[in-house]
Amino acid sequence: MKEIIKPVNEQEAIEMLHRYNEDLLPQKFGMAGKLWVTILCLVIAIGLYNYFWQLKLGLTVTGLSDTVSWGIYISNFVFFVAVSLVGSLITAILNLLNVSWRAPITRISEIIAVSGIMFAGLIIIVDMGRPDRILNMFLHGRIQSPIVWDVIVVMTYMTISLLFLIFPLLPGIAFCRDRMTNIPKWQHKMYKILSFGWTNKKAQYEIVVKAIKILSVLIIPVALSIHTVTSWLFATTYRPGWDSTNFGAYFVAGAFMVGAAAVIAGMFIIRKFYNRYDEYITDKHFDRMGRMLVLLSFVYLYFTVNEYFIPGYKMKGDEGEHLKELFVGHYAPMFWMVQIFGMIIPILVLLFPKGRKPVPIFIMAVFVIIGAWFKRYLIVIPTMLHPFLPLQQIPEASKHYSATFAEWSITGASLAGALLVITLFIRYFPIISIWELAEERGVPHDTIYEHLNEKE
Amino acid sequence: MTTFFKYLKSKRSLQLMLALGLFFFLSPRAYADKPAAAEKTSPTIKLSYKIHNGVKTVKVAVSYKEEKKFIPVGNIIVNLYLGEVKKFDKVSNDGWMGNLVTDDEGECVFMFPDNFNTLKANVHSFNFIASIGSDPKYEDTQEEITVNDMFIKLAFAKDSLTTVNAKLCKMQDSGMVPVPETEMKLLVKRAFGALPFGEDNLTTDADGLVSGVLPADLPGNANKSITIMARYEDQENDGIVEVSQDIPWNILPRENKLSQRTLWSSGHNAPVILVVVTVSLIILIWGTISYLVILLLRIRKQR
Amino acid sequence: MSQKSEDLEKKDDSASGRRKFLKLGILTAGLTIAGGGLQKVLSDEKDPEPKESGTKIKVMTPDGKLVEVDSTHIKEHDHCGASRDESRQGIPGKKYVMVIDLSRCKNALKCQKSCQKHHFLPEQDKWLKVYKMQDNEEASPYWMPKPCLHCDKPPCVKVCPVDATFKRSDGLVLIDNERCIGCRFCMAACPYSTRTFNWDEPKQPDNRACNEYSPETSNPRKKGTVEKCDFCPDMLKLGKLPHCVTACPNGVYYFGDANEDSVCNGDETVRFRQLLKDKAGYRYMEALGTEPSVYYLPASNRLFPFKDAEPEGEEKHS
Repeated sequence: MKEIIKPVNEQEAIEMLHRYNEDLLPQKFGMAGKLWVTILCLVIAIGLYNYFWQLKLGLTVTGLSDTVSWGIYISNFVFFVAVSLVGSLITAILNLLNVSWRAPITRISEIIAVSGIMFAGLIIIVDMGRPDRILNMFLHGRIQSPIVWDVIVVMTYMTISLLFLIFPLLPGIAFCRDRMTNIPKWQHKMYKILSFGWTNKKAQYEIVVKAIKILSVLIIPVALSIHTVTSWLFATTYRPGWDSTNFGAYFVAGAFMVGAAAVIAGMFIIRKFYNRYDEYITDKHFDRMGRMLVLLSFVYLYFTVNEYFIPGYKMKGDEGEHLKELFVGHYAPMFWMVQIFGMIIPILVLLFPKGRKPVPIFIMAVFVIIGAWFKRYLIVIPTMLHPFLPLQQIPEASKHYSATFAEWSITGASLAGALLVITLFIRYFPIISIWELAEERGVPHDTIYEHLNEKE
Repeated sequence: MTTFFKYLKSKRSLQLMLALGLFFFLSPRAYADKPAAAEKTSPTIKLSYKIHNGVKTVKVAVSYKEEKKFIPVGNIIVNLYLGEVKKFDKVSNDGWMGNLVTDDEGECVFMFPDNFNTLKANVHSFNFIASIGSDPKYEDTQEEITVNDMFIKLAFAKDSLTTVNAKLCKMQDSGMVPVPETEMKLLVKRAFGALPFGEDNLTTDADGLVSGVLPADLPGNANKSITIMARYEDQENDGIVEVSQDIPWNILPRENKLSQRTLWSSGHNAPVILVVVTVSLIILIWGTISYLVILLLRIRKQR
Repeated sequence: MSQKSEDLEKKDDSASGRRKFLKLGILTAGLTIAGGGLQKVLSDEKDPEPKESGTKIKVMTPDGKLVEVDSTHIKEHDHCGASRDESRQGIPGKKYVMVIDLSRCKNALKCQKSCQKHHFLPEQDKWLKVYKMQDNEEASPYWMPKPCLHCDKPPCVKVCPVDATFKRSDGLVLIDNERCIGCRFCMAACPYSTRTFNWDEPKQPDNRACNEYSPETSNPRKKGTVEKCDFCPDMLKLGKLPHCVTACPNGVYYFGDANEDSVCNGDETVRFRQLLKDKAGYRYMEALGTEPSVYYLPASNRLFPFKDAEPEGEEKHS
C-alpha cells in the first residue's frame, strides 16, 4: 500500500491530477467483463421470457396461493429497498461527518442505491395481479394506504438518489466528453447531454458543492422513510411476526448492514478488475468499512434479539406458533443459517484487524448479502403460513409455499438487471470521483478548476 | 338382379322412396327419438294459497325428485284453473285463469286481479288447479288445492302501551262467522321475515279474537310507523291468511354512525390530519427537489 | 296508489261490507298488474294455450319500497346487480348483521355449496369456510362457519391503495374487481383469511343470465383480482336473505338489520340484541378492534353431537 502524500507545490498537484485522470477514465470491457455482461443478459432474457408467460397466464405461474399471497417477489422487493439505503449511508452521513476517506467509495454506493431502488420499483410491478391497471394508483390513490406512501417515498428517493449521483458526476461526464476520443457518436452525445453544459467553472463547482450539501441533509430522512414505510407494509397488519412496533427500526438497521456489505463487495470487485485501483480503494478503506459493518451488525443483532427472543420468552398464542416454526420447526435451518452466517460469523471475523483485509472482508460481505436476502424471505413467507385461522378447506398446495422456476428466474433477472445497471455505469462513467478524490488528497480547489480537464 | 337395377333406373319416384327409406332406417335420429319420448320426467307440483290484505295469490312450485332430492324445475309453463280444467266461462266467470313460467327456483306466483273479489263475492270456497301440459321434457301433471274464504280483522289500541287485536273470521253463506280455538300469530314486519310478538301460542277466544302488546322498545320504520301483521296458517284447508297495517310508532330505527373521515373511507375522505401531514411533507421535499433541479439546469449558464 | 286502494275498499264494501279494517300495505302496487291471465281472458277469449306470460315480480328498491316490474326487466337487474358506482352506495338506513349459532352447526356444508353455486366458484375457491375448531386440548371441538365478517373498521379497506375495496353505509364490504390492481395487501391485512385471489383466468359458466360485471354479484370474476364473500347484496336488494342463510337446513345463520333490531334465519325472526343477550353472543377475536358485523353464539347445548367426519359429497384432497 502506497503512502498517500499530500502535494507540496502546484506542479506536484497538477501532476497528481493528471495521473488520476489517466487512471480513472472508464475502460473498455476485457474478456471477463464481456462474459459477465453476456451472462447477466442471458439471465435477464430467461426472466423476461417467464414474465411474458406470467403476463399471459396470470400469477398462476408462481407458487403463490391464497395462503401465501406474498412470496419471493415481495421479499426481493424488501431486499432491493434495503440495499438501496446504502446511498445515503456512505455519501450523506460520511459527508456530513466530514470523514476523510470517503471520496473513492461514494459513487459506488450511489450507483448501488440508484439501481437498487429502480429494481425495487420494477419488482413490485411484477408482483401485481393487474399491472395494466397501474394508473389506478394515481387516478384513485388512497392516502390512507401504506402502499401509496411507499410509492411516494420510492419515487422521491429515486429522484433524490439520481440527483445525488449526477451532481458530483458532472465534472466526470464533462471530462469524458472532452477527453475521450475514439468513442462511438452516441456515447459522445450521451456525455454531452448528461454533462448539462459543464465547463469547469468555479461558479459551477460552487453550485455542485451547494447541491451536495442540501442533498446530504435531504436524503437522510427520505432514505430512512423508504425502509420504514416498507416495514409498515407488514407492521400495519395483524399477522403474527409482522405485528411489531420494532419493525421500522429493525428494517432500517438491517438495510444499513446489507448496504454496507454491498459497498464492500462492490469495492472489492472494482479494485480486482481495474488496474491501479488499489491506489485509490486502499486496504484502509476496507478496514474502515469493516469496522462500520461490524458496528452495524451489532446494531442489527440487538434488534434481532428484541424482535425474536423477547416475544420468544412469552410465546404468545399464534405468535408463539410462528416463532416455534422459526426456532425449531420447518424454517429452523434457514433461520439459524441466516443468523450464524449472515450475522454472527461476520461479526466475529470483522472484529479482528486481520479479518478486515480485502479478501476475508469480501467473503464476509457476500455472507451478509446472501443472509440478508434469505432474512427477508423469512420475514415474509413463514408469517403468511401462520394466519389466525387454521389452514383448512383449502387445496393442499395452499398449505405450503415453494417458489416456482418462473418466480426464481424473474427474481434472478431483477438481481441480474441491477448488477447490469451497475456494470454498465462503471463501463461508461468514472466510478471514482476524480475531483472529490483530488480535493480529499489536498489538491487546492483552484488547481482543480484550472487543470482537471487537461491532458498531460 | 341387373334387370332390377335397370327397372329402378327408369322409375324416378321409386328411387327416391328407396333412398328416403334407407335414410330413415340408417339415421341414428330415427332410433334416438323414441326412447327420449318415453323418458319424460315426472314433476311434482306444490300449491300454496295465500291471502294478504285481501289479495289472493297462489304460489306454484315445480320440482322433480332425483336421488332423494327435490330439484326445482325452472322455465316451465304452468296453467292455473278455477274449479275445473276448462276454458274460461263468461257466465260463471270460471275456468282458465292464466299461465306463468317458473323462475330458476321452480316457483311462480299467480296474483288475482282486484275485480276477482267482486266477481266471486258469493263463493266461499275455492278450488284451484295447476297443470303442466304438453311439455317436451316433463310429463303432464296437475295438482289442486281447495281453500276456504277466510279473513282477519286487525285493530290496535294505544295508551301507554300499544295493544293489537286480531279477529279471525270465515265467510259462509249466512255471512261471516268468527273462528274460535284457532292458533294465530301477531307479527311485526321486518327486513327479512316477520317478528312475532304477544304470548306464545296465541289462540283465538270464543269471538275469534287474539290480542297482544307490541314491545315498547321495538324500532319501527324510518317514517314513524310500524307494520303490524296478523297471520293464520292452515296449509291443508285455508292456506295462509294475512293482514298487515301500518300504525303510527315513535321509535325510529337506529341510525348508522357514519364516520366520514376515517382510515377506511375512500381517498377523498381521508382524515384531515393525515392529509395535512403528508401533503406538507410532499410539498417540502419536492419543493427542495425542484430547487435542486433548477440548480442543475443553471449550471449551463455559469460563465 | 291511493286511488287504487280506495277503489278496492269501495268494491269490497259493496260485496260484503267487511273490509273496513283493510288497509293496503306494501302489496298495493302489486295489484295493478296482478293476474294478467284473467284480465286477458275477460277481454278477448282465446284458447288457453301456453303463451308469453306477463310475469310480474316484486322488487325492493334501495329505499325499501316494493315495486313490480316485468320479468324481462328482472332478469337483467336480478342477476346483474347495480353498476360499479351505484354499488358503492349502501341500502339507505340498513345495517346488516349476521349471527351464527355454533350450537346448531353440524358441518352439513349446504351453505357453502349454495354459495359456490350462486357465485360460480370452483372447488378450490371457497368464500365461506366451515372450520373445525378446538380451543384447547380439553375443550370440545366444534364447527365454525366463517363468511366475510364485514368489519365496521375493516383492516382490508384501510390498506387498499386504489379504493377498490370499500365499506358501504349498510355495513357491507365489497370489491370492485374492475379497479383492483391485484397487490393483495388486503389479503395480508385481513386477519380472518377471508379473501381469495384469481391466480389465473377464472373459468366462467356459459349459461350465465348476465355478463355485465357488478360488485354486487362479484361476477363475472376477473383474473388477477381479489374476491371474497359479499353477503349477496343482489339478494338483499330484493328483500331476500343471502344464499348461505336460506340454504342452511339447521337454521345456523341469522341475518338481518341491526337498526331495526331483528334477524331472521329463514324460519324464525328474532330480536337481534335479545338473541345475543340470551345466548351470550360474541365476535371472533374482538381484541383486534375490527368490529365485525358477524356475531357468534357459543357452541353450548349442541343440537348435534360433534362428528369428525368428512361431510357427504365432500371431495377429499390428496
